[in-house]
Parts: sequence; structure tokens; C-alpha cells
Amino acid sequence: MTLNKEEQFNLIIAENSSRIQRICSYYNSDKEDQKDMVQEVLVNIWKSLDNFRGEAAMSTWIYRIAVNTSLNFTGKAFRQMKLMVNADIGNLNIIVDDEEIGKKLRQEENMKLLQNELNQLSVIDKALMSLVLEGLSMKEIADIIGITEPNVKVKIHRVKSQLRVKLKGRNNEHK
Amino acid sequence: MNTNNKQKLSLEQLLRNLKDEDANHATVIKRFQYIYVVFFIFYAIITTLVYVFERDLRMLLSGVSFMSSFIILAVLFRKYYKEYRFVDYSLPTLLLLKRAASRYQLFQTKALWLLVAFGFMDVALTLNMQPRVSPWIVQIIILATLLVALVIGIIRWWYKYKPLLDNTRRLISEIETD
Repeated sequence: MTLNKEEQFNLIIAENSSRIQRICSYYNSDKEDQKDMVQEVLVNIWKSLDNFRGEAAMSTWIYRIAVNTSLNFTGKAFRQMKLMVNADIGNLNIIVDDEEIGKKLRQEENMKLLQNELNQLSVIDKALMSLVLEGLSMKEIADIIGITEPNVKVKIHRVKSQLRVKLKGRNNEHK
Repeated sequence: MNTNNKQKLSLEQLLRNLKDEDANHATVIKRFQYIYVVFFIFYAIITTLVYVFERDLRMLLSGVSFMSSFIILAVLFRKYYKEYRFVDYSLPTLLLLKRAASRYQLFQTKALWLLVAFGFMDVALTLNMQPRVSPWIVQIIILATLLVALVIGIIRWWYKYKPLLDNTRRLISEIETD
């Protein structure tokens, strides 16, 4: 059975609504801004739907639209683009790949440190880390950003190392 | 009304707006195409009649140049409108950014077709106005008009698109460097 554009759109939204809301929440702390961005992502899904050929997995397709929208959406306040994290995010340990620091991250003070360090990252590094937080594989991230898998690995490894060094350093200062 | 209902209502509203917007874009494209087709048919009839009754080769060339110009402008309009209006956000980020950078550039190779269309228009007007108006005066008026349009275009690009181009290039270089 072939679905028309409207039915296909409704199906995509029904299946991916929480994914879209989650990724939009990474980029905006304000609830209203999150809603605006979700709306913008939905508009772009509609606009891109005619080009969906099923070559990429639906989740990859949705993430591409969400990340690309975030670059455009935050373009209005380009330098103010943020990557928001909180203690409820399940994959928070993955952001530093260090069990010891990972455990400490959930403490309020360390969460502030992490938040501050994440906001020092470049726009693309923030986008990469948001995909890492989603638990995506290096290959999936490479498909979304459009670079090679080794390139993604290098970039993410560099960001994680920087974060580890800074968070360890700050923790040692506070001891 | 619970939250789910509110969300559903806003999604329905959004969907209605999107469908309306699609319909509006289709109408805009159709209207412009009708205008070009009407102009094309009008000039084709006039040119044929003038040639049949007067056997004037100059007016025939002028009419054909006008029609060539309309065809190029119609094709360009359709192409540009689709390209600028319907950006595909599902492309890989780097490709999306590279396409955006190419759209925001001041001088683009595809714009050369615009010059070809203006060239045909120039030939058509010059031939059409002879011998009442000197070809030099026609050239001066056309060149002055093009110059003013170019200056306005550059000023608009500088304030509206150059910042976007700079940001886009910065993101591309950020992605491409390790």
C-alpha cells in the first residue's frame, strides 16, 4: 500500500516525535525555543519528504534534518548556540568515556562544569556530541554529517580528550 | 483539553499551513509560467503577422530575440525558484552546507544564462526601436539599467547573503579540518 505525503508525514512524526523533541532539547534550554525548533524540524521534514528514497535509515534521515535545522535555526544567534545536558540523559558517561568522571558528572557542580565546557565547543563539535549523546555509532554519525568514519572518530576522540582533561583538572583543583 | 490533544491540534494546524504553502508555491510557479507563455504566444503571433504582411527581416529578428529571452527567463525562473524555495534538509550536513555556500555566492556561473537572456532582450529592443531611436541610446539605457540593477544586487547581497556565506564557509572549514 502506498501512503500519500500527508499519511507518510503523520507516520514519521508519530514514530519519531520523542527523538525530535530530545535532539531539539539539546540545543535550547528554553521550552519555547525548543517548541519553535521542533516546529522548524517538522516544516523541514515536510519539505524534504519528496526527496526521501529510503536509501538511508529513517532515523539517520530524521537526525540529518534535525542537525541541519539546528545549524540554520541557531544561525539566527550563531555564536550563542548551546548544547544543553542534564542529569536525566542516560548516555552521559559516553561523553567522556571515563567511568570515574562519568559517575561524578551527575553531581550538580560537575554538571555545571560539563555544561560550561560543552558550550566552549565549536558549533560542529556540539552537533557531533549531541549525536554521541543519542548513542549513535560512528558510521551513523558519519552518514549524518557527510564525512568519513575515521574523520568522525578523530573529531570525537579529540573532543572527549579535551573534556576529560578539563574535567579532571577542575576536579583536582576542587580536591 | 489534555496535552496530547493540544499537540495533535497544533500538528494538524501545521500540516494545514504546510499544504496551503505548497499550494501557494505551485500557484506562483503556474502564474509566472502563464505570463511567460502568454507573452511568448503574443510575440509569436505579432512577429508572424508583421513578417507576413511587411516582410521586414529586422522585426522578425527582434521578435525571435524577444521570444528566446522569454524562454530562457521562464526556465531560469522555474529552476531558481525550486532551488531556493525547496532546500533539502535531509542531505548530509557537509553537502547541505556546500550547496548553501554555492547558492549564497555573489557571482555564479549559472547566472551567465541571465546575461544571455538580457543579450537577446538588448538585440530585440535595439532592432525594434530602429530607426526611431539611435542604437547607441538604446545601448546606454540598457547598460545603465543593468548597472543600477547590479549595484542594488551587490548591496543587497553584502548585507543579506554575505554574512550567511561567511558563516557557512566557517562551518565547512570546521567540518573539513581535523
